Amino acid sequence: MNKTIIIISLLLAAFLFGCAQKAEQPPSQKQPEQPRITTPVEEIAANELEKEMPSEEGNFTELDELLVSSV
Amino acid sequence: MRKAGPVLAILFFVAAVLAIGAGNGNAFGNILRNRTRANIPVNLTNLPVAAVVRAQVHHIFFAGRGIAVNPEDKLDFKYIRVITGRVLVPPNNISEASSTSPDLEVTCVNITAGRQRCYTLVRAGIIYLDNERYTLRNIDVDDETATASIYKNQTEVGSIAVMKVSKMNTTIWVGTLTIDGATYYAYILGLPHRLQIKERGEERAGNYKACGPKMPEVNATEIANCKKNGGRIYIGRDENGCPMAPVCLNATCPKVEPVSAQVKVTCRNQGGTLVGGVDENGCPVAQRCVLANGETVG
Repeated sequence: MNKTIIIISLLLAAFLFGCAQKAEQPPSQKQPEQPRITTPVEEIAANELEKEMPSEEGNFTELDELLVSSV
Repeated sequence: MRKAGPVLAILFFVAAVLAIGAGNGNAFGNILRNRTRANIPVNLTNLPVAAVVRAQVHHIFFAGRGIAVNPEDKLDFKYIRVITGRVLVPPNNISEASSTSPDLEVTCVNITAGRQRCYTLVRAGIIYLDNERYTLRNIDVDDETATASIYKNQTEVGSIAVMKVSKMNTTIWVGTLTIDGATYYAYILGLPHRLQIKERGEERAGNYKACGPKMPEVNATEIANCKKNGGRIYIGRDENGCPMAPVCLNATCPKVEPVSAQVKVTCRNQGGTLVGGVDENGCPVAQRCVLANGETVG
């Protein structure tokens, strides 16, 4: 009976020792973290849309043509 | 034998701890529901086949220029330039804060048996009032109306609610614009754009003079509260085609459980990004782990 308790205690001690070793692993062995995103995606999207903003001159001409042709 | 009791208790305890540690807590939900809302749907026909590696405009809701006039002071007016639409963004551009945005939509298509490719799209917009640049958020656009909150440097500063009117074969967006506490009447002449989606439904034409002097107005707080609860702002019309007061249409949204810390770690370790956003009804959806190529994990 005592032998059983000793064996189980040894196994438990070995397990706890293994856990402690794992916890002490240096951070460099962990997965590299993804770069932190600083610009909100809403801003990224808005910036893309801004490139599609109708130009100052061309589209007013188009609109004038549209309005004149519909009269 | 009596001495074996504590030992067995310790063993059970260790076994329980190991079991909890090994649990995966997978909370991914495959939520694909029928479209029932009036928001302009995502155009599935021109989604790219390759992975989205940089943000690109998917389609334009409307673009135009016009004038916003203070009804109390006719010399207090602003020149408007506006564009709004959907933008495809790479999943890894989505931060944790943006991953539950009401403007974020995730559309998934089946590519082969059992595999999906997901596209992350953001409803976005830019509005210039004179030379001041603002962004639009909490955007709802259907075939007849558009509403949005107006932001300046990540701070909500106003709102816009407009309805579409057709005159002389031209689309004019008419409504109210509130900025820094002042309310303006806005008239925006729609301009054609190559990425504008084809308009559905019939065009309305009518005598809007009969509608009376009041125009629909919605404040930014109402929009934000509506969006937070999975709703959308809707401006209906009465039998004469006159706009009615904006209302918040609430879908019956199922409760979304937040993903566990372990799922977050697993997703990050696989190079994925957790994206949630909203579905076609505006309801928040469970976060999914989307890889850079658009495929989902888990």
